[in-house]
Amino acid sequence: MSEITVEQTHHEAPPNHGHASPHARAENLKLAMWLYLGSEVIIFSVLIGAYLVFRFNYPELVRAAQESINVALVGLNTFLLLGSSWAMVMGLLNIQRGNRDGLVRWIGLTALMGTVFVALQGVEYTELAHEGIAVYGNEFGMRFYAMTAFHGFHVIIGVLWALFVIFNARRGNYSAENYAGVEVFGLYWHFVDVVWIFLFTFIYLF
Amino acid sequence: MSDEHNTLDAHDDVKDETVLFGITIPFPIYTVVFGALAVLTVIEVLIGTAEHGSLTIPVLFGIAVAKAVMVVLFYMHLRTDNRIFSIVLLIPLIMAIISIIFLLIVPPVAY
Amino acid sequence: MASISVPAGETSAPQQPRLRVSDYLRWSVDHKIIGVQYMVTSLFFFLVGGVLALTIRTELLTPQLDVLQTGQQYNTVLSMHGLIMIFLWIIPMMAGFGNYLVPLMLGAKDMAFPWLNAFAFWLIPPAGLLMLLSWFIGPPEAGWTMYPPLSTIFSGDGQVLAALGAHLLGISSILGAINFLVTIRNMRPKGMGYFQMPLFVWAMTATSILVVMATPFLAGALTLLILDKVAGTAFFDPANGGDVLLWQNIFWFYSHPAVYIMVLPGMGILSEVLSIHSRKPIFGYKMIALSSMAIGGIGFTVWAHHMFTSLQPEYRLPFMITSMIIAVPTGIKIFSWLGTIWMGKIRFTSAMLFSLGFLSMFVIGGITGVMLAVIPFNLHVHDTYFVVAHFHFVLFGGSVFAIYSGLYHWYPKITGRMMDERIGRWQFWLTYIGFLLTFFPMHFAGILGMPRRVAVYAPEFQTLNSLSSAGSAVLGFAALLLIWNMYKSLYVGSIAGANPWRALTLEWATTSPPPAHNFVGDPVPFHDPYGYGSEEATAYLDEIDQRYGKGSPAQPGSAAAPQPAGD
Ligand SMILES: [Cu+2]
Repeated sequence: MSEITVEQTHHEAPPNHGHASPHARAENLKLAMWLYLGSEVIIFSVLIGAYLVFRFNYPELVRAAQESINVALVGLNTFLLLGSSWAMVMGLLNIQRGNRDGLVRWIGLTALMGTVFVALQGVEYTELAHEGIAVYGNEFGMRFYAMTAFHGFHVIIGVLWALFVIFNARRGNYSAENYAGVEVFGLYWHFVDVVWIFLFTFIYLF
Repeated sequence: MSDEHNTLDAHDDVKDETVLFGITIPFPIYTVVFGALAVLTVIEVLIGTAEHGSLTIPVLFGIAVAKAVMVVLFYMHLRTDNRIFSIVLLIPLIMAIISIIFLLIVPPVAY
Repeated sequence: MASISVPAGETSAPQQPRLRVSDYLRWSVDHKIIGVQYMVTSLFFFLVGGVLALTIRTELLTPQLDVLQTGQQYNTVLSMHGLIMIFLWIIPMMAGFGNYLVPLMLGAKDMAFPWLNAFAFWLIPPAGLLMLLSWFIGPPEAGWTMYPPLSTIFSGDGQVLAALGAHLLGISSILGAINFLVTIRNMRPKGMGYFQMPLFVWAMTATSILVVMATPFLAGALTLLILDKVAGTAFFDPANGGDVLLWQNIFWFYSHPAVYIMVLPGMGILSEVLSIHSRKPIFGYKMIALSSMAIGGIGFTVWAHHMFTSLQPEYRLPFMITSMIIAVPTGIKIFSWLGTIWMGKIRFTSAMLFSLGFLSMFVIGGITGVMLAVIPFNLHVHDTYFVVAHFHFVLFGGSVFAIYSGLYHWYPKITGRMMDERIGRWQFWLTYIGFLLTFFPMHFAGILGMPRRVAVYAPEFQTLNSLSSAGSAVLGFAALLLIWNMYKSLYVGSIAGANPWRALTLEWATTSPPPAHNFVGDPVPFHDPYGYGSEEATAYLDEIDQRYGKGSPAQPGSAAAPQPAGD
């Protein structure tokens, strides 16, 4: 049967097993990121739900508002965001193959496209404001701005994070074995992209 | 229940060319997915800006879901990554869908 | 070969340098320090919320306004009481237990993300400050549920601050929960599968899943509420294209699961305490573990039982059914606990007394919960004192009794000293009697039709209300006894040693308090964390007894239960 030993511990220097391996760290980071994204799904669902309820109960108000929207501009924006996701994943591919310069270039492209996206959203807001779609006193406006601004806020955070990744990459902090930082940022960025895929369809095309 | 510290190092070796329906395309899979996303978006805009029929909204929704699934599977690596990540995404997603459906079926103004 | 290291220094004071008070006032990434920070912070807010509760009870001593000048002031006091007790006392307190215990129980050196852990804690003091400050700039008057239009149109600017505070606390608990889940999944030691984890860890797993999935609903709803108040939107204002029911739905998407966020960790504490203090294996381990998950799952489907008076009649029935179904996994737990203490060698320590108190009170709270799920009855007692009685039996009789029990049980581990058992027993009986006296009469007041959230009530309810108010004074005194006991024992409590209760879980396999990285070497867990009476456990506990003398409190039978198992 099993043998029991009750050990008296020693107070000499404890053999600290040091830090977790980069692999375990990557595993932890990715799980944490996915959990965080799970909670983001819920937050966005509140905003999207509030909008969809309005969309299906007052279709004529939504139709009227859609008249003033410049779909070409938003379509361009959508391509920018999809493209930035592609650039992101190409950056990851580069660092997985040990190409640091490629990583910096592709993530730089991601950040650039994200920035232009935010700028164009600003242009769109100005246009809509001229059309009289405001945050207050407008049933469509309040839901529209709450959703898109919350998403835009996520893009801004993402751009800052991309710059941070570039900074890290240039200091040589990533390699073909250690790219968890890039991968986790990628998860966040693609999630923001996925949210936009739905927002675009729900707001501009439905 | 054994100890299940799975390894999740699953960046499947992405090649510089992709075989799609037997045809070899000289781009990595990520680029092919981007192409598909772009095409779907164009189709979506064309459908969405035309006159709405009874099928327009379901079709648009289906295309959006297809795009999202592609991003999640390929760009976010759920296709090859550990299954726990898919579970972590799916459970809240189901919750969110249920709550949105409930909000939709309940009339907005209380009697 | 199972080897557990039991540290030296059982009978002498801990040899490592004692932590100073100042160590707890600054940024630290040690999960033990963070755990204590959580606990002390929430105890402070417990006192604040307690003073507010006593203000309410004093006001309700007579049917007229006397202590407070206006009904508005009364609304403010009860709103602050609810917000503080829920968001700043029970939830952070449970997070404190989780932070301190989960890594220890898993034999880990720290949480998966120590920095994130500290960050999550340090969101709490500013959030608490925001809540307290809201008092001074047109305080919130809409209760903790913050229903519009009370909160949007009729409350002052303080409502915004309180909502921001709740928002920060929500972010804090989401970050904490993510940390728990990653820690529990990825940092278990070799040989500890999911079904060898202590049940407290299971409870924290279920709780954390709920936090990650439910709290964002609150975050979304609060965002819209804050926009309504500061940006001029009208999400919840039907006059301008909004929808009041939207708030109720989304709020209860969060807040019904939140009830389980508050009580599931308490149930985890109970599973530990009942097994250890009755020297018996837990009865139905898998049932208790999985019923936590079931409660979590079903908990998401019952929210509209809070809306039986506002929802269309045809949508009410499903929620009545699910609300009754959720009593089943809860009942499974209750019976498993009864099976655990059945024929055990029960030691009536203070920790055990409070756990037994939880059992009795929670059963009453559970039964009134099923009563409230019945639509016709619910319509009758809706928003009366019956509801107040119900949720205080669940949250005070449940969560707070569990917290008291956990404090008595793990105080020796955290400080290295035992708490005074005599004061502990006094505190238990005062709390128990004071609690019944405070909240039991509320059932009658409610059924007779006394509405909640009013400062002025019909004179015929005065007798019942005086009883409640008298009981609340006893409760308040008992809470002070606990604080005094904890303070005093820090200096004069007898030395606890590593394993005063002779338990088998890993947090007891290191010194009290544990050293900086928790364990010297890697501890090997028992195959069954509750295997009292098994050959392994008996040999282990006998060995400890031989080496260090009988366990404290000085009662016989720390070795094993008479029978290996009662099931
Ligand atoms: Cu409920």
